[in-house]
Amino acid sequence: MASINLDRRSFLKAAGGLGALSIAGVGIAGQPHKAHAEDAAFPEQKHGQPIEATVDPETGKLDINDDVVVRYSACLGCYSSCGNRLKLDRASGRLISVGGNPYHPSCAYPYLDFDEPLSEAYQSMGFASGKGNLTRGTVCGRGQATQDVYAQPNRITAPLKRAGKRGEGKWKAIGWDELIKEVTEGGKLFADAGEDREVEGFKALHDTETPLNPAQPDLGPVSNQFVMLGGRGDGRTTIGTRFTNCFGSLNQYGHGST
Amino acid sequence: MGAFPGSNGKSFQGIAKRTLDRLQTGECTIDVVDPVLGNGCVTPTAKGITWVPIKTATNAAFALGIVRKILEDKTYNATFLSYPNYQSAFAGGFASYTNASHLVIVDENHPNYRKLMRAADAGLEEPPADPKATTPVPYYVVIDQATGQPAIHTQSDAAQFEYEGEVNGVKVRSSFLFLKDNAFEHTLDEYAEITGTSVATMERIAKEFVSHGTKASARLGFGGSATANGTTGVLAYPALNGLIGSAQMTGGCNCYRIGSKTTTDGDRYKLATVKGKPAVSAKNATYICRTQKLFSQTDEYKARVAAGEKDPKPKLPWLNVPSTSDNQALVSIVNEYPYQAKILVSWMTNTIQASSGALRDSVIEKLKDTSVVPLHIACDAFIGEHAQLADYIVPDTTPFESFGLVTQEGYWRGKGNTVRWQAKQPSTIELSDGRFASFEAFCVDVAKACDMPGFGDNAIEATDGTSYPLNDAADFFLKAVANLAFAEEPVADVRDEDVKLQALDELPAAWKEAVTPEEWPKVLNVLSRGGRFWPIETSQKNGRSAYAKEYLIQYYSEKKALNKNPYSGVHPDAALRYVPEDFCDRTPIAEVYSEQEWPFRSTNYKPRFRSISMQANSPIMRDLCEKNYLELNLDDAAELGIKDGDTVRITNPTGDVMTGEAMVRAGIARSTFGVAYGYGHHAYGAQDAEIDGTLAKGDPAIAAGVHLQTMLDPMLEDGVIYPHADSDAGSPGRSGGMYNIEKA
Repeated sequence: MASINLDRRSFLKAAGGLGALSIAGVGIAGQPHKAHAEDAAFPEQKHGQPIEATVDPETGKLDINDDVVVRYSACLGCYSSCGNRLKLDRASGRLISVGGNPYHPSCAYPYLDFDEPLSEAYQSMGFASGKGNLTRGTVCGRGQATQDVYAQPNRITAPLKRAGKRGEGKWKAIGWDELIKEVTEGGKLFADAGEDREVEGFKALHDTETPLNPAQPDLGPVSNQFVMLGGRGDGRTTIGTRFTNCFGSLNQYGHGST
Repeated sequence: MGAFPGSNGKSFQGIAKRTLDRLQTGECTIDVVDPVLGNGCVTPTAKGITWVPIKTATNAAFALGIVRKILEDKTYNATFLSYPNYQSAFAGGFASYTNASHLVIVDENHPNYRKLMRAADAGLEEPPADPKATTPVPYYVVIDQATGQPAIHTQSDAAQFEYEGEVNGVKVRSSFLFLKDNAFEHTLDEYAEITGTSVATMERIAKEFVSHGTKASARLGFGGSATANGTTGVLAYPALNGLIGSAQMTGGCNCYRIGSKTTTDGDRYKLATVKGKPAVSAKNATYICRTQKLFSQTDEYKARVAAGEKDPKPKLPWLNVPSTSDNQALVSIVNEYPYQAKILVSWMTNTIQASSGALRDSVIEKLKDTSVVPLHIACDAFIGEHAQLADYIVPDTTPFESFGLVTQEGYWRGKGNTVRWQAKQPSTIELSDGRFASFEAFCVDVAKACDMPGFGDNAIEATDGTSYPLNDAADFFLKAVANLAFAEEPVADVRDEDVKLQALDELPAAWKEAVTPEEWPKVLNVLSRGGRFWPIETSQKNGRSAYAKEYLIQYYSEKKALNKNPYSGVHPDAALRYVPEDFCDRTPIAEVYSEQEWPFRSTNYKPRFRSISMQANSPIMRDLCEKNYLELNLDDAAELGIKDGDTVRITNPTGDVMTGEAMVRAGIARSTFGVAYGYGHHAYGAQDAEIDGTLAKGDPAIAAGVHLQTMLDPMLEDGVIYPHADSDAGSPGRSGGMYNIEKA
């Protein structure tokens, strides 16, 4: 069992630099595949996160830390569709850190074959038997920053309804059922904010037969006045497209021209 | 061209790993044709890198200089250009064909003037229709090389691509001649002047490009298209590849974005098929972004003409070239044209912040106006610029808590799909039925309330006919993973030790129920790898990509040729041509505003330490780079009396003012300024937020930096808000435009 408190040198051996350095992590021909520094360069680690495993650089022996789960998933730091590696605390599920996926061609090249066991992926992040510095899973700074981005305390976790004029920045938390009822039923939804108008909800707009403008039937039915701006190159947009099309609208727009 | 490798929305880690090694060993060289140097994964200090500081918004001119040189030297592949159809080209060893030999009707009095000649125009008989074809197959006319006689393009193996004459009494020219005309419109000296590069550079690249058979490739770098003449730049790449036949060839312009059928109709589940889906399509409805249609084809146009109007002009331009456009959808919404958006959902998006020219008071006021957008629901994890203007905010899951199946992005020739899955429990509220608040849960619950098809019980059909419910994200996406797991050869079942290592036996019970017992261990195997990538060795076959499909390079675009501009009556060029940036009526911007008064162009590029509209809220990213700069060329700055660190003011002809800190540096072309986007936020934590009476003060650090403000198009009626955009594709005029720079 690997200990959480490793000295800095062992840490580097196991984690292979964690992909923090975008260029230094690449095996450049003609340059030694080696990243060992002098012992004196690394003070003993007193803080920091638990690591997932150690790999003995000489024997290749793998020692996995069972307290840490490593899962491979997709990065969404931008739209490049790279893979990523999520280190999680097994007991709490807390996200410890984000790195690259050695099975993914955008993170590692050559990338690990799909059929290689996960133990091989751990090996690839170390220096065992010359594997580590050749096939290493890295993500860029944007990918690593996703952890910090989504850890911010102002993240929205419950439905909000505006409690002032639109754009004024005043909100109140509401329940999920209330949210669904209000947006589907419509009505005088903002009477509290001093607005007397009737708002058409999803149900009122869900008319896939009547033209939205009888003088210009080519514009489509009433339901075509539902517009969804959203969806990144994130492989999730299909749900938005499915919703929009099943509602009876063409108007689903992903990030394409922005 | 137009972007540094790795700085352009393509995976820069992957590109670095695949190019650095080869640069180092001298196996490849890269010419970086970009007004702004930096931010990529290779630097000019690396071996084999040459920086060509091109003037912004002149990509087509640079390409045409190269085309001209290749045409003058006759170093193009004439055999390839002669193939009039894919089958002949494929038999000749290629993986694409061009319409170089297809004839265009140039007789002004002919009813099909400007169109490609069809069999009927030439008095030729069409082959019998394929009973299996769902859409009519067009038959074009060529002059067969062997007989010198007109022939249907599918019935000739080689055709003349420089033909000019009459067919069936109709004046025609081959498509290739239109490119030739446009290439010879300017001399190489003129192209050098237009682009700020040199004749020697264009000649060197032209020579190099044709020296490797099909193993050379011109590629679109992102950013090059986001100028008001970006379409011409985009056309440049296939035009060049067509001269050597390198499309879809190994070592050439190889296939990319190759993946399996996942969230669509796949091997196990038909995820794109919905029984009872409303029959609303582009045939009987119109995209609010005004695409896929000419104005003259709309009911509005017909009604106005019927009412006696002569040459009616639309409130906003119509764009028949692109499929859809998010920035143009936003423009339509704020101008309430061609119809009103009654309910707007902004999901994990920030179109207003991400479109240069849109984040301005006039647009914000429109979106605040409840008579313009009666109901606006945002779905996000943070209150960005869009969500700030919403009536409701639905909390969404983060990338660590959501699913998604992504086709591989980046210039990579292999096949595979990345899978994002809920690797940790969502932090959003748990709903009464055990689901967590998310976009998917919102869609399901609204759909059920409205009795919509496609959600709830029996919403998804498997290929064996079994029906399944769609009540949460896992119900849909795990079926997409099953499609991936079973594509071609099904993957093996997950190993027991891998289940243990990733704690896959602790996943929610609902996940296992979303697929069959046979599928579950294979689904887990794919999840455990974060996707599925096929061995790279399987990606190429006989010198071509194994995934090559029929591929046509158009030297003459009939679609463009027929796009008569409703404001001025001008027809755009159907072939690649250098066209300076223009406004929506095709008046060059330099004819409206003086280049002496507004001598600079913007170069708006993707930042390394922000991501489009995201990541300014990360303290770590702000520590790495607190703000962006207005980056100036050393000589330009000296002439303006601006020193590094000075505060400078940049203005455009429609009155926008941007103030920021100058960074005076090498690596910026003359007459442009570099500015990274993703900075200059109004919201996303920069604003105050009061929730349930508790005020959270905004953090001004999140607002730091400059948001590039593109000018408005002045050629539309008063009151219309239309940020400067490409006249064909509607892409924002992010780079280019006209600006003045002064010390503040």
